[in-house]
Amino acid sequence: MSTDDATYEEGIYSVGKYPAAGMASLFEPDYKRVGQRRRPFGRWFRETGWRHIVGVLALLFALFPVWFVLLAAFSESASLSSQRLWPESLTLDQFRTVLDEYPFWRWFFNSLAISFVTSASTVLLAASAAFAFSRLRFKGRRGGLLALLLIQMFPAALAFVAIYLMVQRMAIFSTLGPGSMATIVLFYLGGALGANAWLIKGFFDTIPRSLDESAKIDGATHAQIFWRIILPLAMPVLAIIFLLAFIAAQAEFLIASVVLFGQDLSSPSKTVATGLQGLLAGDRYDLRWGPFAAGALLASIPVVLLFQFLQRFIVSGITAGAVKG
Amino acid sequence: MTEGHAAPGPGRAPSLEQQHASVLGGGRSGTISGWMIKILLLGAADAVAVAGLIMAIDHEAWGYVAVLGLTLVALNVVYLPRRFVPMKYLLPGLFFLTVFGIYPVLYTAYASTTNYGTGHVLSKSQAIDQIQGQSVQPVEGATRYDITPMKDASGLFAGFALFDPEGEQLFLGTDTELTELDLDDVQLTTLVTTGRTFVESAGDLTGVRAGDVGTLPGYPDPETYQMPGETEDAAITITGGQAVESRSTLVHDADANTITDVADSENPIVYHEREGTFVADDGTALRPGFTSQVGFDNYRTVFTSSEFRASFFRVLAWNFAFAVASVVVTFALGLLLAVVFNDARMRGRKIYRSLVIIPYALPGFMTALVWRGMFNETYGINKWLPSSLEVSWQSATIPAMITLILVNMWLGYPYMFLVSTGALQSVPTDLKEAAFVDGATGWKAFRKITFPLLLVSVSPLLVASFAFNFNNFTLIWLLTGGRPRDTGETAGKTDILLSWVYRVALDASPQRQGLAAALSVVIFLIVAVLSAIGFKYTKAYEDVK
Repeated sequence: MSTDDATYEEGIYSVGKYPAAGMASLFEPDYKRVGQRRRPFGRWFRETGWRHIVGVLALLFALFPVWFVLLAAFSESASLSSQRLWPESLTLDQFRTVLDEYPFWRWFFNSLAISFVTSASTVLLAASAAFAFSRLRFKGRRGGLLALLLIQMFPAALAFVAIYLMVQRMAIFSTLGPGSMATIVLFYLGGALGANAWLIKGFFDTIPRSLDESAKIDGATHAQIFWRIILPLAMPVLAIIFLLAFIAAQAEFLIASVVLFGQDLSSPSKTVATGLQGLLAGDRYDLRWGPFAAGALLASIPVVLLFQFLQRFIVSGITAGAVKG
Repeated sequence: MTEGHAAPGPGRAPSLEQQHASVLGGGRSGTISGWMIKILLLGAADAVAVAGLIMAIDHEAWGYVAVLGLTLVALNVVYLPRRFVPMKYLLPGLFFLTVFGIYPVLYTAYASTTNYGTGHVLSKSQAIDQIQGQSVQPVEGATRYDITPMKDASGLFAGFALFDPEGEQLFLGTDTELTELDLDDVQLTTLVTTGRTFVESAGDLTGVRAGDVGTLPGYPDPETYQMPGETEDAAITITGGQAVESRSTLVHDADANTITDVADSENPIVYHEREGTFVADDGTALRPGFTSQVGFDNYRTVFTSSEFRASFFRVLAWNFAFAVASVVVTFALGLLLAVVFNDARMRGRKIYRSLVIIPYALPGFMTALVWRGMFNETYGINKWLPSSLEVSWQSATIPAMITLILVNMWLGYPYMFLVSTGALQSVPTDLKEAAFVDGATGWKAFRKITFPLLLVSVSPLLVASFAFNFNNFTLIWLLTGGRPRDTGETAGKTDILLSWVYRVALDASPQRQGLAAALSVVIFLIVAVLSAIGFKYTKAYEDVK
């Protein structure tokens, strides 16, 4: 995990120094003191030492669960009762169990497939709607934008009872209905517009109109402007929306469990989230702790990798959002 | 959708060849290949819609027929002509938004006025069919036919040949009709084992022996197979290798809306419809029941029945407390760490910062389950704690609530840390300098200047975080599942509204989806009010800015 420190530092140290010390440094950034290499211990502790104590405590809090699940995954025992705080021997037994006795890879690839189709479609749907809102003029444009803003305040999950009833009825279509991955994707796409269309529209608005106008003069159609000018220029924001939608779909639990309601662990369409939850269902879940831990680690890999890739965008995105208000 | 794949790049005049192609493509705009892609995609979408339409018509699901028909028309009206350009870009998104986003909300409102739930799943006519099907009995003195499964020339199941040994008549029965066959064109044999008549062939149909029906394509389950009988309320059913005219003893009278049991013709029993079930005067009910309109009964149940009324306000209070506490603790810890790591003289800040946001990088459903194991009362962290500190993390109400907030703090503080770190940089330095010049201490400057300014920029995110946690079903469901829960109560002590709805709708016996939908509508209203307030609040803050 490397954080791009430049995002944090920028702007802090460009201003001249001021004589804050002692208690002042508690809440204010201090500025590099030229020629002051060593401080007495007391002063060092008051100014920076205590920060390390807070930092170490924070790290213990942040990392303890990760350490806990790592130990369980590499432990020789599947039971939570033999969970240790320090490893005695490292084995891959739990990985073997979760891969051999449960259709873990199936869940894993189901989740990947659902997330991929969902995020790719989300980007297409949201980008084309954003193009209409940004570049075309039509009746109800402002009203539509406002409606999108209002609708996204009510997450689809709130209507899950109706979704459950709809899913039961959708069984008349051969590939849809209870336990169907395609059905999960359809309901995920119900929320594809909303915030995404707004975000992309904001980006489209920053692309100079002179570009499309000159293309139009050259005889380009609206479709050519959309596919060959606007979309390629908006690639960065589209990539972010794709990855964020991907991560969200990986972690989604409620709609997936409503569509997959009543499907047991051997069902071919479980996702990682519903599968791992099923592994820990029941009172004696502590007996399946090891396989769960191993599965959880494997399941985290795609998300952690994407996060690594996305980190600089997420960090600066959130920061920008916060600053912009 | 796409019209421009072999299109000229921006800033280049279309070549002669391309202009030529445009003419073929039906006008100045678009090229031949773009047009072909559009037609292919439109054709594929049309094919899917038509296939769905056929299946929907087949099942007489008229609601779906309407939706799919409309979609089909809209697709072709929007994409075939060159008009309606904005709609070309909006239609796909709008389709998913309306059908899978907005419709479920409206359907929730509708379902909240029904008694949908276990035993009330079917429509009324489906329920009547099932009720009658269960009481089918052979008509007294009816003909018993010898049956032979028949296959047609292509080898598919074609129906049962029914031979009447007394009347010397032969019929072909399918699930839709009963036709008499000409005996001249038929080969019959008598089976040695049973003495029954087997039809070797009839016209171009061939008889199939009992041992071969397993491989006969289209062969139905004879137990449930029904062929039309002589009268309308009768059917020919198969029992014990013979077919016999049967009739339900339960007679449905559509006008009186009753079902009458005529098994005992002296004392017929009349069942009246009551709350989605047919019930006799002595209280006997005919199963299954069906979905029926109950008006506002579900809302009345939520707000007046002893089972729900008391729980409702308790759950609502905890729901607010949980959301507020989650925002406060995550923001407090995130801000504290942001401030602590915001000092250039501190060594290893980079490492601290990247490690401290690890919880944000892991999937939340997974870490919630990990915490659940850690707080297992027998095998979790209690093992290492001195016995005086062993807490009933999951079976006692207050510890379970603290557990939830603690875990949510772990899940949420990295986000607040990132937000605060960014916001700290946006606080103008000259303001702080001025404060120090005026003699303010660090704490005072933070409290009076940095913090209020920071709050202005992060308040929309705090509101969003509140909204998210107000409906944070995943954490509640995976960590405590709403437990602890008193027997006889539908709501657990740590249930939020949404997880309560889930239990009422799905994770209980009997399931009560109608009632759960009414609860969902209440949540919708609460969220609407909160959003309106949030909107106003952030607007007010922007004005201040």
